[in-house]
Amino acid sequence: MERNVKREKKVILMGDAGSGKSSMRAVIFKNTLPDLTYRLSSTHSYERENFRFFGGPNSNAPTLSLWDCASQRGFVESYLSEDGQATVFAHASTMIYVFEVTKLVNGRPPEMSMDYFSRCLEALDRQSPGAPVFVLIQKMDLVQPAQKQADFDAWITGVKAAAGDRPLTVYGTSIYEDTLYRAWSAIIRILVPNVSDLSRNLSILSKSCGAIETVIFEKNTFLLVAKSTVDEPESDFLMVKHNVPDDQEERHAIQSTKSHGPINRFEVITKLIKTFKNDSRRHSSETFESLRMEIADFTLVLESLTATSYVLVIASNEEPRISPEAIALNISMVRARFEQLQIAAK
Amino acid sequence: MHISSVFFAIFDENQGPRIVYQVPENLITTPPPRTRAETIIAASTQPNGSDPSAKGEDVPQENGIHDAADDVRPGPKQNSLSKSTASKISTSYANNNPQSSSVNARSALFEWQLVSQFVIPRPDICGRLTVSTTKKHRIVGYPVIIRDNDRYERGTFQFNVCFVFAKDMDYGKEAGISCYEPIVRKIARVLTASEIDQSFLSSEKTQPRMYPILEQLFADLNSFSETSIRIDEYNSLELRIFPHYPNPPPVNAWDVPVPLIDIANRMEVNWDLTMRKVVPFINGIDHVKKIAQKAEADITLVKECMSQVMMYQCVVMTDIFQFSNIYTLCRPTMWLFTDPAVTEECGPYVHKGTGSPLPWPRLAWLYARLKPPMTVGTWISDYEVDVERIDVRRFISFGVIKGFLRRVHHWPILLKDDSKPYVAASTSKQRNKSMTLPLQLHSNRLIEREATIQTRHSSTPSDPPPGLGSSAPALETPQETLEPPSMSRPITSPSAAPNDNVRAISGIGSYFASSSIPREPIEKEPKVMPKTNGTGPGLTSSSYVPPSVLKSRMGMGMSSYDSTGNEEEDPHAVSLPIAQELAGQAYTQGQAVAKMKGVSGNGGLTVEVPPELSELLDGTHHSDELCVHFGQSWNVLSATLGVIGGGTGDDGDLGRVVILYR
Repeated sequence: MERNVKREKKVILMGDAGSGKSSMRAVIFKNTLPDLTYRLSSTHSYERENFRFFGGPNSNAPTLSLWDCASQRGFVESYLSEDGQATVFAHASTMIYVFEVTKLVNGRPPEMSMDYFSRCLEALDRQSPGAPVFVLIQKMDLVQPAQKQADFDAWITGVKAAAGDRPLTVYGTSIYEDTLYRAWSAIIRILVPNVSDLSRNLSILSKSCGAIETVIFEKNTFLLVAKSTVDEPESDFLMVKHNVPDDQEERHAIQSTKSHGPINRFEVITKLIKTFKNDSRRHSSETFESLRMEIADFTLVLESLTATSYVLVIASNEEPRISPEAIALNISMVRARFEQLQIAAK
Repeated sequence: MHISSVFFAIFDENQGPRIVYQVPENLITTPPPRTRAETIIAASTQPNGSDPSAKGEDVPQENGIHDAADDVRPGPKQNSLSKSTASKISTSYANNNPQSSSVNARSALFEWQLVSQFVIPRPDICGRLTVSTTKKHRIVGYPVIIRDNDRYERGTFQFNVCFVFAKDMDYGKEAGISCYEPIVRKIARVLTASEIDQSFLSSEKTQPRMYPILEQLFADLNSFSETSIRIDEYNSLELRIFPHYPNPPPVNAWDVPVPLIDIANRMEVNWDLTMRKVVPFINGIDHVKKIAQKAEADITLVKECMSQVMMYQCVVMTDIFQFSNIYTLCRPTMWLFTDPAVTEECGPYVHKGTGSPLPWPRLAWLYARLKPPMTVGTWISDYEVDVERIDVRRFISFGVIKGFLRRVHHWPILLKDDSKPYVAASTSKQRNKSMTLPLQLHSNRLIEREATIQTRHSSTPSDPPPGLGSSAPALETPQETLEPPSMSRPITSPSAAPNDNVRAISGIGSYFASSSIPREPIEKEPKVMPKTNGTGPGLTSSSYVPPSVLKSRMGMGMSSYDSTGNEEEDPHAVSLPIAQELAGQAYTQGQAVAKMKGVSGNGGLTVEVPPELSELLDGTHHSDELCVHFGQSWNVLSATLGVIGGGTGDDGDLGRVVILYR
C-alpha cells in the first residue's frame, strides 16, 4: 500500500461538534449552496471521501482523501485510543481543526475543546510527524463585525497556548463568506508540491501576455493554487501564522509594489464563480466553460488550462489593449507545458 | 429466552452515541472520558495495577472479567493505567453510583464501544430491525431516526431501544430470539409516535420516564412474557411474546413417537377428539400405523395429531426398534459423550431389574461397539450384553434421542436389465416371443451364474442371436434409438471390465426388446452380479425383462431349475401378469456404490410377493417403510426381496436386489 499512500494526500478534518466541518466539505467540494447545509445531519464516526484533484489527466493523479471526523465525545475518544490513532492519524498530509467562534466561555475557549485539541495534536505528532496543522475558527458570520477581531484573538490565545511551540496557521472563516476559500486555498497549496514551479511559469505566461496577474484555480473546487505575483504580505486580518516558516517560493514570483486590489480578491472571485456555476447548473443543463470580459478597466480571460485547472489572466487596459483572443492563444500554447508540470509534480 | 438486559440509547449531540438508561444497571460499560488532567495524574502514579485516584465521574476501578476489545492502551503519558482500567471501569451516564458499579463490573456483559455503531448507526441503516452480535451476546434493536430541522439542533434525532440476549450454544440460532422481533418493532413504532407527537424522548422533562418503562419491560417480559405499559396520555405499549416454533418435519407411518412429557396429564376435555383417542397409545414403542390401528383412528388424522405434538416439542420421532436394526455413532456429536446431561441420565434410564445401574464408561463402551453391519441382535450376543440389567430398547432409543446414535437403514434397490419404458400392453406378445427362444435364455442363465467374467461372451453358445456378442458401450449411451441390433453395438473387447458379460446379457435382453417392440428407445444397463464387488459404475435405467426370464429366475431361487425354461409347476413361480408388473421399471440412477449383502434372508420361506413391492425398490424407500407398508417383518420382507431379485436365497443373496446402507 505504500504506493497508494504516496498517491493519496490524506487530510484530516476534525474539531468541535457542530462547528461546521461537514458543511465546509459540502460547500467546497460538492458545490453545495451554503444556505442548504443545514440539511446535513451529524456525521457518524468518520466519512472518508476521495477527490481527484489537481494532477494530470491520467489515473495516477493523486487523490485528496478527506477524512471528515465526527466530533462527539464518544467518537473522539475512540480516535484517540491506540488503535484509533493508528487508523485516523497515520499517514496524514495535514490536519484541519475547526472551532466555532461563538462557543467562547467567559471570553475564553472552552477547556474541553482545548483539551481535545492538544490531544489530537499529540496524536498527529506521533503518527504523522511534521504534518502541517491549520486551525479554522468557523462561523465568523455569526459575530458582529466589530467584535470579530476580538473574538478571533481570544481564540488565538487559547489555541497558541494549547499548541505550545508547534507551528500552525489559524484562519477565521465562514461558509457564507470568501474567507473560507482563503483558508482552503492555503491548505490546498500545501498539498501541491511544486507551487513554485507553477508560479514561475505563470509569471512567464503573464509577461508574455502582458498581463497584470495570472493565477491558476483548481477545477472542481475553484481554489486558488498558484499566482504569478506576490504583492504585499498576506493581511493579518483573521489570520495568524504561529511559528510557521515563511513561504520560500514567493521569492520567485514577480515582486510588485503596486497593489492590485483588495487582498482577498481571489477568494471573492472563487466565490463568485462557484455561485455562478451553481446557478447555471440549476437553470440550464450547460456547464461553465470559460469567461471572457473586456471592459473599461481590464481584460479578463478565464479558461480551462488542463483537465483539472483553470487559468485566469487579467490584463490592464492601458494601451496597447490586448485582445482576449490573443491571450487565449497564448494559453493554448502553454497548455501542454502545464500539463506536464502537473504530472511531474507527483 | 431470558432477556439479559434492555437499554435505551440515543445519539447525543455532544457525546455521540450513548446509553441513556439500561436495565439492569451497568452491564454495558463505557470507558469514562479522560481529560488531560487525568492523564497527567496517571503518569505520576505507579506503572502497575490499578490507579487509586480518579477524577470527576470516574469510579473506583475494578478488575472485572469480560470481553474488552477496545482498550485504551497506554500512550507515553498513560503508562500507569494499564489496560485493565478502561475496560473495567463501568460508568453509567445516567447515574453515577460508585457503590453499584463495584459489584456490577464483574458481571458486565460487553463494552458499549463494540456495538455503538450498530445500535446508533448511520442514517441509512436506521429504520430496520438490526441484530448485532458480540462474542457472547445478541443485541436486537430497531434504530430510529427522526428528521425535524425545527425541533432538533442538528436536524435529526436518533434513538434505539434494544434487548440483549445471551448467545446460548444449545439453542437454535434464531429460534429463541425470533419471537422478540415483533416486540422490538412495536416498541420502536410506539416510541417514534410519541416522540413525534410530543418529543417524549428528546425533551428533558419526559426522558426520565423512560427508565421506569424499561424496568417494567424487563421485569414483565422476563416473568410473564407479556406487559402493558402506559407511556403517556395517548400511547401505551401492549406486548406479548408468542413462542415461535419451527414447522415440524412430515410424519411417516413408520415413525415411533416418544413422549417427552406426560401428555395425558395435560390433556383437557376440549382437545381434539382424535388427539384424545390417540394420546393414550403413545408409548414410545408403537409406530404411528400401529397407534392408528389400536386407537381405531384414521391414519391421516393420526399423522396430523403427531405433527401437532411434535411442533410443541412434546414428542420426538424415532424408529421402530427391532433386533435386526443396525445403528451407528454419529461422528459430529461425539462431544455429547462427555456432556453430563448424557452421562448421568443414561445409567438410570436404561437400567432394568434389580441392582445398580451400569456405570457410564461401560455404557459408552457398549455404544461404541455398535457399527454397521452389526445388528442389535448380533451386538447383544457378541458383547454379552446382559439383557436382564439393560433394557436394550431404551438403551438404543436413549442414544437416538440424545443424538449420538443414528439408525442405519436398509435401502433395497431392484436392479434391472435392459430398459424400455414399461408398457403393460404387450403382455401376450412377450409371452409368445419368450417361448421361442429358450436356448438363449438358457445361455443367459449360464452366463449369469458364472462368476469369472472376463471371457464370458466368447464362450456363449454357438448360436448366439446377433445381439448377443454386441453390446453398446452400455453406460455411455443409455438412450439408443432403434437400429438393427447387429450394427448398433460394437463388440467389446475381452479386456473390458466385468461388466462385459453384463452387457452381453443386456444385449440379449435388448434384442428381445427391440424385436418385440421396435419403436422404443433402448437403454443399456450393466447388471451388477451378486457376487462381484461394487466397482460397477452407476446403474442406468431399468428395463423390461421378459416375463419368462423373470419366472425362471425366480425358479432359480429354489435351485431346482428347468433347463427348458418351460413353465412348470413351480411353487414359487408367480403368475405372469404379476411377473410383468414386478418386472416393471425400477429406475435407479448412480446410487449403487457400496453394495453389501443383505441380512439373512430365508430362502425356505414361502413368500407372496406383493405386486407393488418392486416398484418401491428404487432406493428411496427404506426397509422400515416397506415393512410397515406391507405389514411384514424384516425377515419376511427380506425373503420376499430375495424372491424378487432371484437370488439363491442363502447367505443373504438377494439376487438382483441390492441393499444400500445409509
